[in-house]
Amino acid sequence: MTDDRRHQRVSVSVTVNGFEHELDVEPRITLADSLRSDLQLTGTHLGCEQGACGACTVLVDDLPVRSCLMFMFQVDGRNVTTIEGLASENELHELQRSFLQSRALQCGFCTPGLIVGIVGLDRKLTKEEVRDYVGGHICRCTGYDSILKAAEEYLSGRQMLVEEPPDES
Amino acid sequence: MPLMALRLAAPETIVDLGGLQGMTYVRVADDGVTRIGANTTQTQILRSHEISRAAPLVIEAVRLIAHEGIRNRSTVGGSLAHADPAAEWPALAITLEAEILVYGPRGERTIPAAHFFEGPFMTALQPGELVTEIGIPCTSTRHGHSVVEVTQRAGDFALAGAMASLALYERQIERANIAFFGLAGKPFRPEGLEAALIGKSRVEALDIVGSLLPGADAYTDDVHASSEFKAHLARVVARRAIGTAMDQSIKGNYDG
Repeated sequence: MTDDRRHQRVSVSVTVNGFEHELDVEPRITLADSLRSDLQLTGTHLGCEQGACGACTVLVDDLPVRSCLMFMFQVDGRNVTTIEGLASENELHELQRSFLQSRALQCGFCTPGLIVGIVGLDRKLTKEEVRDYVGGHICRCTGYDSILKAAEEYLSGRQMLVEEPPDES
Repeated sequence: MPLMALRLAAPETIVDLGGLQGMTYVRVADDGVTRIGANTTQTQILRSHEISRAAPLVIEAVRLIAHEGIRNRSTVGGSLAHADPAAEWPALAITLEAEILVYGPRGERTIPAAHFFEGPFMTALQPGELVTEIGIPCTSTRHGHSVVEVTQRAGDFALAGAMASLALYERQIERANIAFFGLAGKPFRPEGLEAALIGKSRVEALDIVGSLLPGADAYTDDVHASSEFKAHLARVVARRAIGTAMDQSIKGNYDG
């Protein structure tokens, strides 16, 4: 029985950054680990491996998720977007450009998770809500101001940044 | 998952419930009960107009759960079954007197929230049973509500938390549902507190609430906070939650 478990494999069909993959993975491998080791997409980083830091954030069916808290088999039949999937052949993604211009990264460890997460925001937000979202990612280097600036500039450029609604009381 | 990553849990078998059909829904029934399917995610709950009308305390509490990336995957059924004593859903369930629908080898049964949570990460679920739905009675237009958490960082589990759902009549408490979480092995509604608050005005309620809470012995001493500090935090969150809920009800901000 122990031997069977050690050789257990499950097949996963997943589209990552627009490319379809058929993989045979151990059931216990996380999405984060499989992206990094089976698909060599090492842009997704492992910080805490508990879901607290956000460095591992990827998009699954366009929603930001903590890939360290998902199993690879759970993305069977789904679409995954990682940091590697954002830039086109010749150009950086708008948000990547904003990050560069605002100097919103230093060591770069938290950066892929932040960028993918912000790209995955699917609604209009106030500055306070952007701050709330970014607060779910741990950055030790920048002090966050430059990150907020880059995020606000990007969202504003897409008409996704809105003013606080007037207080209704 | 985090428990496994921290090597605190090592289950022999894991079954992913994500593929189960028909467990993601929000329905307000004719009897005024809002029924939420167990696989409904926190994000889906936050975006539900029905819930924001029928049980706004749910929205306020779910906003405090972790961070957006987590809320996109976290489900209400998962949170209830996991029964973390510092989590929001167990406290919500007992504050709002919800009913938890459970399905297992011997069929379906309904467990009132007050009997569902037995201790830290322990519930009334028997082997083979899973949570399928939570039913939340609607709150009336005279209700004011509030959730207050004390955390080390935004999104953390609560060191101390209080939830209040109050009905007022002429600026006095007519009915109070008040639960505390993060402080002990499971969320609780302190004995005698709610009854003692009936008929009290805001000033009177805030004045007496401290003396109606359990002493330091009732709280778990841990690496984050001592029992004495938790007893202090309990009074702080109680006053803030009751005060805010009463203000809201008085101001008529709840527009049902």
